[in-house]
Amino acid sequence: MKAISIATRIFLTLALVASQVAFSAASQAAVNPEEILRKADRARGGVSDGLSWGIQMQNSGSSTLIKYEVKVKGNNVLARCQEPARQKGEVFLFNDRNLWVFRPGLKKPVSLSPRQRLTGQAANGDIATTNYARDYTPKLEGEEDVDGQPTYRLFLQAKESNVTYDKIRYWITKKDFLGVKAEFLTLEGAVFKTAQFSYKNSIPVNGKEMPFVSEMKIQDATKKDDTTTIEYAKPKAEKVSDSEFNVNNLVR
Amino acid sequence: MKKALLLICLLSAPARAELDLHQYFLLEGESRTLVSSPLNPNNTIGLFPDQMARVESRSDLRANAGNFSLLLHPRARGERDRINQLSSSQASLFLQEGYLQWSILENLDLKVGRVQFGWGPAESITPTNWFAPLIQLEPSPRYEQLGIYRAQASWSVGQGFNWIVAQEIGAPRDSWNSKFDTVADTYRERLLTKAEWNWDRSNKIIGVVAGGLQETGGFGLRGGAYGSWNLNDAWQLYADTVFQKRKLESQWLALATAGFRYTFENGAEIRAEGIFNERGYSHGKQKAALELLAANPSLITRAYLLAARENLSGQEYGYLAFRWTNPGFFPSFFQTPSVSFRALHSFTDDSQVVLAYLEGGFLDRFNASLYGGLFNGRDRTELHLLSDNLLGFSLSYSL
Repeated sequence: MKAISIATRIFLTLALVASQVAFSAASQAAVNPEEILRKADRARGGVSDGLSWGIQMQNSGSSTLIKYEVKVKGNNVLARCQEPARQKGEVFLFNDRNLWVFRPGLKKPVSLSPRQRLTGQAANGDIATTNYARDYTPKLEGEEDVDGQPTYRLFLQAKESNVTYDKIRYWITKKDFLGVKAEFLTLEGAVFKTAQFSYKNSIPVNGKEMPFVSEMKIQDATKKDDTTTIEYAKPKAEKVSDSEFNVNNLVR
Repeated sequence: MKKALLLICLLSAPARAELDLHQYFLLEGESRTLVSSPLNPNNTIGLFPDQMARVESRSDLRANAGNFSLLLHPRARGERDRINQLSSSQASLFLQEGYLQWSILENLDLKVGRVQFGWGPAESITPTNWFAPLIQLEPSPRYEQLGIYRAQASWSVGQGFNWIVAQEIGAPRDSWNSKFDTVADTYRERLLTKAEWNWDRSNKIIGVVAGGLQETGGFGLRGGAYGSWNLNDAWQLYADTVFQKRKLESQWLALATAGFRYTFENGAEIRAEGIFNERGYSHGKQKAALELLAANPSLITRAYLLAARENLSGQEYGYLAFRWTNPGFFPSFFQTPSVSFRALHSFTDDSQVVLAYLEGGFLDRFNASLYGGLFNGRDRTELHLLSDNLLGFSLSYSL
């Protein structure tokens, strides 16, 4: 009786463990990281025809607010500076990661390398729309809570070398598929900056209001008080012509 | 005819217009050492100021109404110069740019008026832009190139292709003594067509250009190409070449530049360019020409000195530039500070000019610059005369 009881206990334990493993594997298989990432991109500008919005940037320790009127389409951005007064009239054009700057009085637009940033901690790609699903291969690392919200934790590996960040760790809420936190990693895998996102805006998509990014707070991983805050205002889905992003049309 | 066209455009525009105005004021001052030379003995020919103080009001106005846009950049300038120990003052009102733009279609624009439009990957000179190819050796960082009166049509296909046709339509009416400081800025009936392609996310660009302009003896033809290639985030290679044939010449002569840009991880960049001017004088010919002119001063005019400066009289040049925006060593109250150096070396006569700049903004409305220049070379070289022992400052305030 005692021997059968032990064998039964062992069998039941093994069966229980096996069922847990099988259940976990089935759950994982049901979660498609590419689909999660694609849904998260929509809330950060992954709209095909184009978007316009206002951007306000501020670096820590500075009282200066930098404001742009922005048109975006895919990885192209046209940003016209409205404030501060001394920079008014400057126009920035991003063709993917290549940056052109035009200032009134300059003979021609000046081409800058992707290594030259707009300002502070923000990379040039941070004011553009996000298309992580196109540019990165995601892997589901796990699940955890961020500020009380259950999220998927994805690890994103750049598909090509010419994207803004090579590796990203990205937390996306399970309920609304909104990216709420990101860690940007060096080639060696060390975190060099982090970002947190808020979604207080909304835009109509297919007749339904969809949450849209309202703020991105970027922080240097080593100098915690070195931050840049980007606020996105009045996002509007609109048809933007590709020719708006042709450098020869920069002054129109 | 032009006024009638302008009136038709304005009357057919919708009543509601969007206005955008940027108003700012500029204060500049410069001093330099003027060297007496055979071509400019005691500065009696050039009459260049050794001290200059200038105030300028600059307005950038854009009005949009439907498919029409009006852009106006009026400038009001007051200047006090010291020339050969004598002070003089002058005031002028002029248009840096002013044109009407008609967006006929979403990707087709027409501009008529005084237009400044540039392209090309090189920093020192744009050979393919014979509207305004000039080397950017004006010392002041606030220097503005004046637009040229033209009609210009631009057609784009997406982001990757653009075609422009431009025709110069009239002579500038400004007094060249005060603003048009080069003889290049006279009516030349310039005609140009340019097609540009970019692909691979603008990492590769190529353009072809054709047309011509009035030169001595008749209408001279020009044709050329330019291109740039971003190898990666750090390296860019580029070139810009035009072939020129004057009416009375039997051969095509090249004006070409090629160079590279390297950008460091911290955003600082260096550029190096080589310039070849097949029409320019070799060392021997330049020496002979200068001796002839010096022997007969009546042949020399201020216009010649300025043209020599702008038109690259020599044959081979090297250009080097360094620029660093937002370096960490500036005090924190400076906004978007930058430091830059530019140097041009003439292999023809072994002369160099070096210009250095410090710039920065503060209090959200001010931009300040401190700049200086040094020239080194034989005294018979006039090319860089205005940059010797130069010290200047500029301060702008935006409303």
